Parts: sequence; C-alpha cells; structure tokens
Amino acid sequence: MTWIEDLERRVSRAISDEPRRVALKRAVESYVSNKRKALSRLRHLQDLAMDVRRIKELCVERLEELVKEASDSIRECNGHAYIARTAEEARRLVADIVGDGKLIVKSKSLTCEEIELREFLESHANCRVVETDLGEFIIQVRREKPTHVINPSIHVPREEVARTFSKLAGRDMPSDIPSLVSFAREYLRRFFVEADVGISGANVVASQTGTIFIVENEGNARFSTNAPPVHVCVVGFEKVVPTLSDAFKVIEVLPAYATGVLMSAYVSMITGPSKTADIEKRLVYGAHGPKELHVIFLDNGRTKMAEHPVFKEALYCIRCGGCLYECPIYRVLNGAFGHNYFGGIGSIWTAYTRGFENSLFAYMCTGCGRCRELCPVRIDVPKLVEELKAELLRMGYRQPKAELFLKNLLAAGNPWGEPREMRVSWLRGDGV
Amino acid sequence: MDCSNGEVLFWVGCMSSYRVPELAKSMMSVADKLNIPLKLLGVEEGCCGSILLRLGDRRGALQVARVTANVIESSNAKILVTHCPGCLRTFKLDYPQLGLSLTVDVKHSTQLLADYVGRAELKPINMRVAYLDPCHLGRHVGVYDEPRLLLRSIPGLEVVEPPESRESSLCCGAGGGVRACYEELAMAVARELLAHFKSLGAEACVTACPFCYYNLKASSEGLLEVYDVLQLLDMSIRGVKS
Repeated sequence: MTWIEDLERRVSRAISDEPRRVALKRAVESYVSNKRKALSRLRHLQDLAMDVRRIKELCVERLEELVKEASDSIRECNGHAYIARTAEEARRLVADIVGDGKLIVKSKSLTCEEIELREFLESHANCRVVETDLGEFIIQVRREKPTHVINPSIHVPREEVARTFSKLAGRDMPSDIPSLVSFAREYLRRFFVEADVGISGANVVASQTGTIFIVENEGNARFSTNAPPVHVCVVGFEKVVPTLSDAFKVIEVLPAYATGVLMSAYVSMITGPSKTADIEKRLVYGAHGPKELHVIFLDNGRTKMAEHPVFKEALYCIRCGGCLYECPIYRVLNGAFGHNYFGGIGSIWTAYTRGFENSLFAYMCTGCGRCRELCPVRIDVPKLVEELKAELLRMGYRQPKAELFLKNLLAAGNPWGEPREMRVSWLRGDGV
Repeated sequence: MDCSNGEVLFWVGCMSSYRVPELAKSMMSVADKLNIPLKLLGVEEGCCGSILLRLGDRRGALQVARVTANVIESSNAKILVTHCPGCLRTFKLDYPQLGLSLTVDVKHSTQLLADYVGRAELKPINMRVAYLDPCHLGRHVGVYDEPRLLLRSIPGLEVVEPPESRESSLCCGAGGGVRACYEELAMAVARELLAHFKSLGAEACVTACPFCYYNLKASSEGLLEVYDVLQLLDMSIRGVKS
C-alpha cells in the first residue's frame, strides 16, 4: 500500500466511525460553550496570551541556555536533572532511574507518549505502568492511542467506557458518567499508595528556581507525583521559561483555552524533593513527598525546530489543544487527524519528534486558518503547514495530483488539462 | 473608483471558467446591469498557480505564476477583479513572496460591486440565508463586510449570522488541495457545515467563492440550497427568483 492509499483509507475509516462521531460531537459542543463563557469572564486573557507569545519567542532563541539554568537550579535543591537528546536516550535514562520490575503510576503526559515511555518500561524493564488520568486510563485499558492532547479518550463515548470498565470489573457497569468516574477512583486508589515510582510530564518549568508546574483537574497528577518515593518528570525543552512570573502567565492562560474552565482545580509547583529539618534542624529528604526527584529535559528534535526560521513558531504552542476542538477537519475525522500530535500544528510536531514520514496527515489540512484566529498565542498554522508540505515534497512525498496539475498547467494553463479554447466557452453559452 | 475605458480586468479563474461557469456568467450579468465595463483575457488567461502553492510546490507555482504575471501586466489594466478568493490570495499574498509584483490593484468582485450596487434597483428575494465567509477571502485577505453589504442590499433577504462567522468562520473543506486529493473528506466537512447552517434555520447557504460553491453544492443533497453572492445579486437585479 502506498502512503497515498494509506491516507485515503484512514480518511474513509475515520469519517464513518459512528461511536467516535457521537463522542467527539458531545465533547466539542461542551468545550465550545465552556470556553466562550470562560473567555467572556476573563477578558484580560487575550492580552496575557500575547505576553506568553513574547516570552516564548525569546525562549526559543535560547533553549539550551534555559535548560542548563533549569538543570542547575534543580540540582541546587537536591534534585537530579538530565538532558536527553533523543527519544531512545530518554527511555534509557528513565529505565535506569526506575529499575527493573517496578510498579509505576503515571499521570498524563504527551511528552511521555511522544517517546512511547510506557510501552518501553513495560516491555524492556518489566514494569507495570498504570495510567491514572481518567482518559489515559480508559484508552490504556482499551489498548488504544490518544486522539487529543488534553483529552486523550475524547473519541470514546460513555457507553463504550461502560463496556470497557464492565470487563475490567467483571460486573455490569451502568453508563452514567459519575458511576464510571467513581469506579476509576476506587480502582486506582491502591496503586498510588503502592507504587515505587510516579512519572509525570510538566506544563511549564521556571529555570531560575527549577520549579516544575503541573496543571490538572483530577488530582491524579498531584497524587502520582507526591505519594511514591520517587518522582520522574519528562519535559520538553520548549516548556522552560526564565522566571516564576513567566510561568504563572502560561498557567493563567492555559485552562480557559484547554478545557474552558476559569482555572484548573490543581496546579502543583514542585521545586526539589520533599524535605524536612524539623528534628534538630538536620535536613532530611523524603518527608511525605518523594525522596528523589529526577527531571529529564527532552530535546528530540526541538533544538532543530528552533533553528528553522518558519517551524520554530511551532515551539510557542502551550498545548491547550483548543485548536483541535475548533478544527473542521479534526471534527469530521473524529479525532483521527494526527500521529501523537494532532491537527495542523501537530503535523509540525510529529515531523520533528516522530519523523517526517509520519507527518503526512498535513495533506489533510485545508489551511483554513481558523486555528490561527483561535490560538491563544496566534501561531500561523497555515503558513507552517504549507512549509511542511513543501518539505515533504522535497523529500519525495509528492501528491500525484500535484504532479498532474503542474503538467496540465504548463501545457494547457489550467489544472485539469482542458483545452485552452474551452476557457471561454461559458461566454458563448455552451459551457454549462 | 473610475472604471470606464475598460480599465477593470475581470480575472475569471480556472474554477469559474471550467467548473462553475454560472458564477462567471452572474458576474458578467451583474457588471453589465451596474454599467461596469469589464475586460477579459479570454483564452490568454492562465492559472494563478494557487493549487500548486497549497500543495507545497513552490517551484512549479513559480513557473506558472511568472507567465501569469506577465499576461496580467501586459494587459495594462489598472484594476484586476476576481471572484476567486484563491486567486485573490495568491496575487495579493503569495506573488510578492515569490518575488513577483503586480502593479495592478487586485480586488475581490464583492469589493468592486459594493461600490456600485446602489446603481441598480434590487427586487426582493424572500429567503433566509446564512453566509459562509470563504477562508481565503475572510481570514486570509480580510474581506468580511462587502459580501454582507451586498446581501443586505437585497430586499426580503434575511441574513442569519452563524455563531462562527468572520474570523472564526468554519471551512467548507475544499482548501489546501483537500478537495482535489481527498474528496471524501472535503465533502464530509461540507455536509457537516450545511447541516449546521440548516440547524440555525437557514434555507440556503451563500458563499462568495467558486471552490466553496462547488464543494458545498456537490455535498448539498437533502440539506440546503447553495448559492453564491453573485447569483443572488443577479437574481435580485433581474427580478427572477431562480
């Protein structure tokens, strides 16, 4: 099967997936109305988002320097910091830190998904990795892949979740959402307590203090990064900003665009491992929180992206995922518009982090630019996608239609190779 | 704007020339009724090269665009008017990027017609329509008001403003070479849009772009009537319902 046939087949399959359509429609409707309400309450947010863009513009010019500063700050407060240049390096690092045969609780992280960390720890380190974000948990049990950066199980309607949980529980579960949520709460609770290691991503890191910010609504990230004795955080280079104030700006903008809430329920700020000096003023690490904190800064194509005059703009993305809910193509493809990263912006991310050969879904982007208007940091996605298409074409992924159009245009002055004289047949009235 | 002496060149575009000639005819008819003389390039008119650019083929597009820029420049027109937002965007935004500069003033048909619509006596069309901002016309070039002004000048026509309009307007699904390469996807997007417009109580969807018109019309069965602004304007000037 050629890559073209593969794309066509994926389109057909995605469009006709009825359960996905139902789930996505419900999710989009609720997101759009919640975001409208949130943005009308938080009127300063659009200006603040432009501040965030300016912060990001500066950061992208000095990624290495910021990562180094952040690493130094983390080490200063007795944490461990590492730089991983590739996905493979990052996986190895985590496996070495974690050790063999451990129980791991994990909170949702697109960066971990990018390097397929869970799969690696399961297959290469005999670990049991339990996803604790509800959406991630659902698709882990269903053995599926995420379809949204914030809401990974957006494509699964409640009836399907009930079926999945019924199998897991060995009894019939009703498909009302509160019951499903409380089953997950009950089921996951013991894993938090028993886990050897908690793994998370991060939404933003302040380099001056080495502070990691994790934003969430469920409380599972807080649990996973607090209850186990070891916390491992995998974070992309682009998440590092200079100061706490810069980081707070990102945190203030993110929730409304990500889920349509004024503020997320929880923001965990982590600066070093847990510690106490309550007995004789002697500092001991690992009071109630983790004894060890390991932060892995992941490059995996990001510094290369930062060097590209056009693609570097993709690094400004704060990963709210709002553009996906708003994308006419994402909606119709029921979320099947990407490879780890989704939509127009995702095609650039996929190209750099998972290989250009996986970014061909860029050809499904109409370049309508709706995402550019609705993006908090106003990333010019159509421009980026067109640049990617040009790059793909140079690499030999040329749409056969494009080739045909060019041939026809040069020969007959129109894309379809119609006779030149037919161009004016409508004037004579015989062209309809 | 003075447009006597054949100064206005009507760039028909490939879509209107070959695929939806009813839009080219409407444009000619409306311009005639409003006393705007239009000059045509006839068989000399080529392609702007947009489709190649949208598919990432800049080198190919440049080959095509060089020829086209020459044809336009040697026409000596002062104003180029086109109904195709794809051509409009390409002339206005992409040609300078390709190092080609057109000295002619490039306008969308609705921008030209908005200045002259007062010359005609418009007869009523009793219909409730929702206007779809074409992506290349609205978001890319910033023309939002003129098509609405033309629609509002038609007596009896009720224009529904969808919650997603202007900057946040939806997409018909045809752009970026998607209609050419993934027809099934483009038509699914169009059907979604028409169903949405129908749920807003509109009887018809109106656009101002040959690509939107073509894709929406092909996808409209059982959903909504599809018109172009030019068609409604022509109907209203001529006093015919369809």
